[in-house]
Amino acid sequence: MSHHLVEVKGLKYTYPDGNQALRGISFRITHGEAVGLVGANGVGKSTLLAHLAGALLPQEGTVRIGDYPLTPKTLPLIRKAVGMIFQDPDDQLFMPTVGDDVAFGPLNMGLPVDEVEKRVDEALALVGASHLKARPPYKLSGGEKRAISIATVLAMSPDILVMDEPSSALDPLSRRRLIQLLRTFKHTKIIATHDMDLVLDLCERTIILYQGEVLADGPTRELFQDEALLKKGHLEKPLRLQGCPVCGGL
Amino acid sequence: MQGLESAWHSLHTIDELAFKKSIIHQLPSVIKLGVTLVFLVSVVTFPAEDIAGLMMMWVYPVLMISLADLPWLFLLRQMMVMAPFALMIAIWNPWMNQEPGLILGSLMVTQGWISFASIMLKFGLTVLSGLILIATTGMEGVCTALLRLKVPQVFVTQLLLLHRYIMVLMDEAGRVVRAYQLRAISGEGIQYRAWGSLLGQFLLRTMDRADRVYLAMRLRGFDGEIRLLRAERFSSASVLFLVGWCVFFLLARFCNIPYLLGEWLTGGWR
Repeated sequence: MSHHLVEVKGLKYTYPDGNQALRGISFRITHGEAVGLVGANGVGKSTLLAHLAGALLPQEGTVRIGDYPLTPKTLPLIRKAVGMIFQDPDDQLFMPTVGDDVAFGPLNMGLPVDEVEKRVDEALALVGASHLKARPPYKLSGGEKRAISIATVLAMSPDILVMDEPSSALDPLSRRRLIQLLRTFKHTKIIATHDMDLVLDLCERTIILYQGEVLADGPTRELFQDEALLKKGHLEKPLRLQGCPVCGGL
Repeated sequence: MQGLESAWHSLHTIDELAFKKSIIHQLPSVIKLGVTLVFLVSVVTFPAEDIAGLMMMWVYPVLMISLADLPWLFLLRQMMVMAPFALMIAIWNPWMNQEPGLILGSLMVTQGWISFASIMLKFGLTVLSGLILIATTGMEGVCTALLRLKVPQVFVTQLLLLHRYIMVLMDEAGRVVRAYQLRAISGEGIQYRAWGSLLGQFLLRTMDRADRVYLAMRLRGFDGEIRLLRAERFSSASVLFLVGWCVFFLLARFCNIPYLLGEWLTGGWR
């Protein structure tokens, strides 16, 4: 099952404007792991995710997804293996109806129409959105859009899910539903977020980024107890690990 | 801002109308596109002086709107949005051509006024037929039909994405304008000094958004070709719909139906 493996070694990336976003990042994520990627704004989370999804190519260092190194030639294989869920679902949902949007990836994979329809129905059923199939995406609520954007990726049967701020702009109930949904997935999950409670709920492992480098990489509960480390990374303990605002107790 | 919002709502309403379940909505998109194209060609090739013949063509939008259960007033309002453009073209005709064209009792109508009426009628018919097509078929249905008619992929892709992203871009424009207005003291529209920076903002935002959308498409295997999941079956009723309308348009175009009808009726009464 090595196709679920994600390995990054000495990854560096500098944008054309001179901003050095990644300054030598290394980690290895194995099959079925759920990993939270946290850090202050501008530490390179999105740049790192773009590499993992095959949207950017390494300038220095290597990225390996499963059996393949990330190179221009392996891009189609990498993009098939990794499903990326964008921060803003409006960027991801561009087809006239939800059904068309979920079918977009499988159709591009050259699957026969019967198989595409099966995958669309399965993916929508999995996120509890079968009833939205004929609706235009812009008519949906934030939570529904998020569920559909996940379905668009699931329909391509990826091995690895990469998510950029999946809980942003969701109301509390939609956020809770998203967490429950993500918990049911057996994929390898990499979640970049500022939602520390979501990381605590879903990810047994966390990587903290700081100025384009890995500041810490370890079990979520351990890292989230280390206040000095969190402070250095411009982070805070998840609300659930903070004291009660009334009595001060945990 | 209100103008922008009302345009946004109109676009949404037309999209929503395409989800109705009337007999017209259920016809294959290629058939509806075919009928619309034949209608358009028939209308635009009418001679300028044949006002009576053009009036017969109104049978098509009237019947379609009734059968598809579309909102009359809404469609007419949308049609009127385009009216100034047609008016700009037609308004000069009465002055340019003052030759006598028609004498109604003591009233002399010049050829200029006749061609003015003809242009306005043609404008109404063509715009309304386009609106009816979109409101009964939806943009993706029209695109499916265009692909079936072997229209180049590039064109269809552009059309589909343009239509989809007009909504998102209007959202962006709405945000930029609202941000301006909340800090504008006068509250009287956008000052000309701010136009440049607002347009610049809008351009940068839309470019960013376009980048992100394109990235999302590439990550899901986009190779320049949009593939739509649509299976449409041609029933004998749909073929009859196409043939029936085409015959009617050709008859209206090449035979003087009002005259024949009048002759038949008066002959019948005798």
